[in-house]
Amino acid sequence: MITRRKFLQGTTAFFTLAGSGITIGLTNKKNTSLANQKTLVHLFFRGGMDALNFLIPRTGINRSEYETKRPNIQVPVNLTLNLNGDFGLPSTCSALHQLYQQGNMAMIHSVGMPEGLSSRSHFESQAMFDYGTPGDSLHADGWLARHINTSTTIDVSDTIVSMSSGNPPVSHQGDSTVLSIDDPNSLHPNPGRYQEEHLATLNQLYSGTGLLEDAMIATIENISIITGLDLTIPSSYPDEALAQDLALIAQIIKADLGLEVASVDFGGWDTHENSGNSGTGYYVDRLGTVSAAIGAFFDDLTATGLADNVVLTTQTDFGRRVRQNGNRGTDHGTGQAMMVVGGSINGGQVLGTFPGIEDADLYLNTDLRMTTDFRQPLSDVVKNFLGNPNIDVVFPGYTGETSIGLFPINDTLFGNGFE
Amino acid sequence: MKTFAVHCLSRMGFSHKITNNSSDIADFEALGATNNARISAYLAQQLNWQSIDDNAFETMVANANYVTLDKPLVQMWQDHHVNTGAAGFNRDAPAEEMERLVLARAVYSKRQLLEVMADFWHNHFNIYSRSYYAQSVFTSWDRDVIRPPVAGHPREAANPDGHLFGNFRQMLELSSKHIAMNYYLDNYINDKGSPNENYAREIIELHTLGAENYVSLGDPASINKTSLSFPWGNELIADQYVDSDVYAAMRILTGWRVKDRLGQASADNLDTGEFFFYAGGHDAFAKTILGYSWNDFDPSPNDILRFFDILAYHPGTAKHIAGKLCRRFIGDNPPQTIIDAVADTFYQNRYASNQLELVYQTLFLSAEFKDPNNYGGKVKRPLEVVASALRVCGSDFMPRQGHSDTNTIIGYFMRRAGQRPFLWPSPDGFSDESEHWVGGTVLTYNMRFFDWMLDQRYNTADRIVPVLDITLNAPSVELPNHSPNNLTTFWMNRILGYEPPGGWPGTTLHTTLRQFMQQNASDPQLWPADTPFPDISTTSSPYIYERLRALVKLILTTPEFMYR
Repeated sequence: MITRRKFLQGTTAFFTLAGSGITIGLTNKKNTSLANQKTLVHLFFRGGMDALNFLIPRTGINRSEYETKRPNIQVPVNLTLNLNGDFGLPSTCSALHQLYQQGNMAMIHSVGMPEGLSSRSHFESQAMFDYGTPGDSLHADGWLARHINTSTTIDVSDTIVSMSSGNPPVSHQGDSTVLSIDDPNSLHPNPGRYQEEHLATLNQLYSGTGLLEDAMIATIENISIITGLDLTIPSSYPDEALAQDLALIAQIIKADLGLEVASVDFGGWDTHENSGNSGTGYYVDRLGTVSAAIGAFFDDLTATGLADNVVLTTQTDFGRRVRQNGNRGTDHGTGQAMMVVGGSINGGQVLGTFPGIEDADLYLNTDLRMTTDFRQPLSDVVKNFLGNPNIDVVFPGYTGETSIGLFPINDTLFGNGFE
Repeated sequence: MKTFAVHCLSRMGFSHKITNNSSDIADFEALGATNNARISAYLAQQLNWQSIDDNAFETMVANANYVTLDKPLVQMWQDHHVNTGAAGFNRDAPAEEMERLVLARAVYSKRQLLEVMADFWHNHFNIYSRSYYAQSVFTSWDRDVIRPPVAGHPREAANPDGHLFGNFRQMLELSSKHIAMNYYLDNYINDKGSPNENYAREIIELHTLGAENYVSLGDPASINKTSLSFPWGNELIADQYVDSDVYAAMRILTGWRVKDRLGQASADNLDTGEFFFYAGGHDAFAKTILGYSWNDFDPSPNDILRFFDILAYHPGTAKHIAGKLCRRFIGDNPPQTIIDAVADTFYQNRYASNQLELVYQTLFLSAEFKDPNNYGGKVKRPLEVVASALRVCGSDFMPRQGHSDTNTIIGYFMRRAGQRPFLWPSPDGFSDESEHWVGGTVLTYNMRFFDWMLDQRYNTADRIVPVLDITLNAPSVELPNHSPNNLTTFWMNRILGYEPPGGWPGTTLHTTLRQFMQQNASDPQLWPADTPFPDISTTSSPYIYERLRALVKLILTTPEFMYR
């Protein structure tokens, strides 16, 4: 294989290149320091994740109603990991439990859209959450895109401002910075013997000015940076899709490329049948996969001193019905359990209000009733972690904005009760 | 600078196509002695689409096991919605076939103007192909609303000319009656008892008057009114619309729905997928829209039909659609003169059966379209990138269901680049602004597509594009020998379709590409520019075949090719 040195010696025409921009693997376009870069990792559980077998009632009337309504798919109390006494995680979630105990994980009860605006359709509900617009599943742009487009702390010329592992969900629709990366080695326009020469020639072909020319030069440079990075996944991560996706995101965070938002999808939650019983089986095992992946992700960031700079939020299509169905599963419902992970959050608490699961408590007689608008915790993250005050743009029409308490608020305006 | 022929073929089609035996650029040049004569003749030929011999492509379609193309709407609905499940009766088979057919037609059909206009109008009346009802009838939506009627599938008697070469008013009504649109924008549940304003807003904001004629929260009394002529007489009509007009439109459109056996009167309790006016759901009381009033109680759909007239025959609609056509076919910021001229043709011919043909004539025969300053001013969108690359590199596979390469192109590269056909969820359609299509991911996956297209099974008979065969079999007048100079010139001519006066050799672009071709993976010395390579098909050292494929990728990626 030709080395770069050889290649540069090969022709004087290419020498000009060194001065005209492309220094493969060396340039790091990043204007803020790593210490200041905050990153949101938004994990969407596609399919509709059940709340009650994740954030499990352990005591009192909630427990007895839970056992009554889920006779064949309940998790026994002795197989729960206690959070706040009244609720616990299944025993497969030891890593999440540890994060909670360390104050690095919080849970929120029964999150969803305002009543009357939610949907039990996977497509509609995902679209409305991704757009950040309850009641509108055909919006023009997504909430993450609107954050990217309105935050004043973002330099859009950074190498990777936002990314998704896989096809970008519509939460990124309208975000021109989003890059799909599932394999950083898959971005090159001509991997092989002539890959460096290829990028160098492209750089020459696009030496003019213009909309496409400027964009192409930036793209070529980004590809060369990403291709030149060492993004080796540490062996501490489980060899499984979610863990590997989070691992790649962690390596990109560590590479200091300006990553503001990363989206990850993880499916397998449409548990209409055979979701498991007695604290074992498919559903709690799937949660165990999530727990191990997030645990490895957090440990990796902690080891590099970056845990305080990253927040991971979770979301799903909807929670599932309170009562089990005839196939030892659950059908599409409403309120969902939300998880927030990060070194800088006020963790170790279960936030929000549990709506109760007695018959009279249920939404439409079947569902866990929504008690926290999903835009409240996400606004908290956007404003008080990412530092973007433009909540009225990120969540158009949302007027209930007030911190749910995920972050210490230093702003004196908040301290004075201005809100 | 692109030639006029290349400009026309990349705007009025998905770029030129030159093979070792044919050239549509040469065909275009032969149509007349002047550019004016050539464009006039070419446009006439393309408008007279049925006279273009497309048998070769139709044979490819016939052999590709498409199953939904000829099904009448009722049967399509029956097979893919009501009785879904049997082999070939998948719910989304019509959508799956349609997105593949769009690619096939763009690459192989000789009726290129028909295909770019289908792309334009699909985008204008955008429907997300995975919308629950639309997925099961998508090939009908394309055939029965967008494209000119084909044998065996006539239009309804009242709207014989509703299609992309016909009359806009008729097309608008057909679009409103099709189950795909009726469901996608929720008019199927727009009932006087539980109204839904989704379609009412979009038919005004996107399909007709456009947001540029919207006065948000405006007072209807303060909007200027102009006397306009309609088939039934002259009326004073508001120049722009306000929110109260949207609410009135919502009431007007109640009961305009489809037979899907949902909440209808028992006499009409059918599930056929056909259009259906349900008088019981229609708000028959007095209404006012754009200053025009219905004062009498009327349970008939007369107000709906007249509402379509007011929208389609409104000069604001002519301006809105003219602006979109000009931004698509002339430039991101077209001169107001051409927008006005196209709008004038649209408006003056609003009752004509060939209104849209006349509109395209004004557009393509204009001084603005012919102005060399407007050549190459649009960034190709991913469909145009993929289709034009396949055309200039001579692909011969047929996109179809169950074909993994097709799935890769549509489901991976086009989706990643942001334009999997019909996968734009909101009703505004894929952006036609160049700026939308220069994001890093778009460009990365455009380039990744070129790489895949050239390298996939490159050394087998089952390659995606026969670049090696084309090179080996090139006429000697085009490619006298396989020197770096000649290979570069040959592929630049093929892909770019033109050369500057005096030819490509000696230009900076040619020199840059030729020098790439001269490099050697195992030797720092450049191969001499005019010395033929002994064997360009070799896959071992000095890897000339790999370099040749990379050369083609680079020429495809030049700004000269990526702008249309």
